Amino acid sequence: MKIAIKRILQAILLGGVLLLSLGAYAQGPSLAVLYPDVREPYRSIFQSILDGIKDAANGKVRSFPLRKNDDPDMLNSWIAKNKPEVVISLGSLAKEFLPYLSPERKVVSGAALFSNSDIEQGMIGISLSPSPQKLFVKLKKLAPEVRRISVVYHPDSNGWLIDHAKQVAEEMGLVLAAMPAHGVREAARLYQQILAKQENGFDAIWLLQDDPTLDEIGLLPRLLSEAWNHEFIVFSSNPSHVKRGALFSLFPDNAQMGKSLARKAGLLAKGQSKNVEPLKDLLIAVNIRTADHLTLKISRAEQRDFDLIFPSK
Amino acid sequence: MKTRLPCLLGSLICLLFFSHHGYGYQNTDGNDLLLSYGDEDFVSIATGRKQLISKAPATTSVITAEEIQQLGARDISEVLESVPGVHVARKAAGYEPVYIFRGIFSEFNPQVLFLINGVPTTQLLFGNRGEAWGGMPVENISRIEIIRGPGSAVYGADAFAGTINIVTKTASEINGWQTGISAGSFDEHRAWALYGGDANGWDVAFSLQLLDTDGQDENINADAQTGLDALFAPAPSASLAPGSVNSGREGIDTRLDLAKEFWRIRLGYQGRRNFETGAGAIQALDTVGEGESDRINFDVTYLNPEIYQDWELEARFSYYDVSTKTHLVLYPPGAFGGAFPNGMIGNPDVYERHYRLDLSTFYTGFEDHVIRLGGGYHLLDQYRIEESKNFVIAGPVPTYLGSIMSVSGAAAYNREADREVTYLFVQDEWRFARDWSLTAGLRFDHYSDFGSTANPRLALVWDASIDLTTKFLYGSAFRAPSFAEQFNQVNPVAVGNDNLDPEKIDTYELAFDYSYSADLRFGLNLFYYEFQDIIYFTPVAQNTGDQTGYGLELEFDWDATDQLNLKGNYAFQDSEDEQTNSDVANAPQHQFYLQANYELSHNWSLNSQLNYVIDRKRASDDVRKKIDDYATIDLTLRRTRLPYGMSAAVSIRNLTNETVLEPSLYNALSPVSVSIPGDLPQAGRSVFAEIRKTW
Repeated sequence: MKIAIKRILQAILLGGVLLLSLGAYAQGPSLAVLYPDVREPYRSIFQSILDGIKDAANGKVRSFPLRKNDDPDMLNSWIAKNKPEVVISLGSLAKEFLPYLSPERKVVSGAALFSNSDIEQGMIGISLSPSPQKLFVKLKKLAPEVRRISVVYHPDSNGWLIDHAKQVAEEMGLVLAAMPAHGVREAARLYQQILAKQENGFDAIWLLQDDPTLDEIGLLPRLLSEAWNHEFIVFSSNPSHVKRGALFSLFPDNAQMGKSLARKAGLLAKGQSKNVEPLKDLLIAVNIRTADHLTLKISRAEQRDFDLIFPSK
Repeated sequence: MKTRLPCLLGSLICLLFFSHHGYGYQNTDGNDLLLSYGDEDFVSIATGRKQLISKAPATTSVITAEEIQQLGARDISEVLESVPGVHVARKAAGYEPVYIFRGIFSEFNPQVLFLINGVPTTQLLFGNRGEAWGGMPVENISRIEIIRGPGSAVYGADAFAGTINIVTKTASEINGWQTGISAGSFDEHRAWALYGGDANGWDVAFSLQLLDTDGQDENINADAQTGLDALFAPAPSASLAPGSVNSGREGIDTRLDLAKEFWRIRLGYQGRRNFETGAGAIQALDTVGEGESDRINFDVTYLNPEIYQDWELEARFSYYDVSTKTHLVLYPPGAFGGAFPNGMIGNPDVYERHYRLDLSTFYTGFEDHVIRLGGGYHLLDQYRIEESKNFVIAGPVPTYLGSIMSVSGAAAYNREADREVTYLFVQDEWRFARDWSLTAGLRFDHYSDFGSTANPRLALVWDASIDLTTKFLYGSAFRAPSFAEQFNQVNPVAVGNDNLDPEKIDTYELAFDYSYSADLRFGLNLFYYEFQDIIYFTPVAQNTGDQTGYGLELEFDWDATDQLNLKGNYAFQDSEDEQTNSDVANAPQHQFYLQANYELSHNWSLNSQLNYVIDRKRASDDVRKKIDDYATIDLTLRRTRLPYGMSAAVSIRNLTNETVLEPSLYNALSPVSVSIPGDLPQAGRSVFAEIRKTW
């Protein structure tokens, strides 16, 4: 009897040591996360992302709340002290501090939008822009007849994203009519052209998130109103457009995005994954009133899969 | 009062001015984030929870947990007051809340259906939420759904003047631990703890909320005993008036919610102890009497959105156990010329058990139709009545029994009885053309005590444009006669009649919802109703009353700036008692409500609300002068982002110490028709402070 217990204890001890050593082999890179120290409702977002990073990271995660007027030297000395293998920067404020970091520092940026020049400078990260592939797949699910997607964009802000989207559209057998514009006025003219040539059922208009060519105050309400009156499909990368009448939008799943950032950091530590990719960790917002107006068939079961439904009353 | 309203408007205008000119919070951090994360709208939408599809697209108001917290509300009554067309009054006994919807008022308030997570809390005895309840705390509430108007086609009995559904927080909403404490006026202390997490694949949500308060102590100058003292003069006065109302109580509210895949199990308990008598059980002040109640609920729900192709099934078994025990000194020591040296004592208890099985399905196999079918069986059992008292009514004056005696059977105030309900309903939502839908529904109920009733509803909805939705609604509802109305015994002024019909109401409504812009929304509702077979004790309960009413509610919600949200409503109702051809008493004819929520800075926010209650008429033979209108202002100042996940708030209710009165009743049958001539005083200025911590 006594001997048996001893054997069991030894087995447990051995098992524990094995597990620990396995864990040691599975150690991921140590991470330092820079995020903006802000008020609600933004604060909860960054907290969620941070939680996601910690969940997926196999190594140590340290975090640093940044304020606008923080001294870059202070930040650098904090980073130097903690010796992370990869730095994850969250938000556009953190992005602004990146030029002050040592050039050898491996950085993954997230929770921000990337411009063409960011990409040319070799930034690495996950954009807030929803993946065009996921957007188009959802569009085809909701409105299977659509063949052509029109989008107005500023080439400096979203050129890289649209290039990516063109490839995706081709693979899916869709036509992407992408129209570059350099200002709000040029964009307004292009939108008018788009509205004029919309064919019911075959066409959809894609609104980007925070593209400088979209006039949210003057143009957007008129665009959505026109779309309603003529039963045109408008979908967006910005869920607040859905509240105002766009059919659907995909938006960030913050915790999952955090996990993806941690994984990307892991790959970067091994010298892989050196690009900016659009976001694949997404939730969906749908305007049911607009869907009904467009006489799209969405079953109750499908509706249950939507993360946000408008109108909310 | 006349000077205060312009003052508040003035300060709101000042705030707007300052925010426009940047004296207020500079959105510096926000501006950076704007570029990457979109505006606040995007952000609050993006962090929002899953929106649920509303079951009854009638005139619904939804108040979320965030809004409840902004208000600094401590009880649901404070939240309900903000709903257009709803006013929360009080009744004398226990100062229990009375929810008045659109001019429909009655003392025991059974015409409002109160649900917690879809399960009715209706008690058989009076048809209301029960006595020694007093309301419930709000920390665990995810949202409150309020339907104005009839809902019997979906909810059955008592969804008459309105329906209130309290939805509690799920595990993911709580997400960790949330705790808090609060203290303030009236020696009120509150504490709460919420937990949301998972265990073994089950989502677990737990809440515990505690309350201990002495309650407000405004004075009542004359009560029912005062009137009797005059009649029994020159015997010494027994009345405890002038004296304060007694509104102290202790409460514990706790819930457990377990969810996994298609299953949800809920367990809850609401306990009340030392629940004081308000202005007295029969309007004579009682400083000694108290009540206690225990409410236990247990339900198991199975919800499968696709149990079979195009079929969704929800099945629920629920159990509700309510027991209420009271010890009342109905008239004070010395009453009836000294005949009752210890006072006239009555201790009525009631015990109920409710068993419900409810099934509901959705079928979407027919294109453009969403068909709902359902049915159920309820066994509602008032299984025990206990009473002890020291009096018996054998003549014009009660007779003292010498000691407290137990009574039962035919000598008790009510009897043990039960009720079986079986029901079936069908509803079709038919999109018959682009932008048009017609919902037609019918519910059939069979009650073992009073028979059957069928209640239809109709809703025609037109999405007129991207900005405007128009609805035409018709609904019919019934209010089941309560066990007091059917089986009351022994009480000569309220005699039961087991031959009663349910009360009926038909309501017609026109509703408009208009989005002027992304930031400004308006709603307008116009309604007309006919309320028939109203049950009154004459003194025998009879379906003798008729009432018609019409009115409107106008509301708006405006995100005026990034920091300031304004919302408000105006409600008007004109209801007429068809028997007396006079205005219905006690319900306000006009109500005006305004709320401003202002983010002062990074960590500070200020919420203010103004509630103006106007024109409550007296009963036609009530010679008292019209009860004063009142306007109250409440302020809540909150500081978030304190260290260690804490936040704090301080709240001032009735800032200007306005005299707030709720009407006391006029009883035509009683020799002293007005027992409390000075009406029921409500709290003056009070202050509360709270600290919260999330873990």
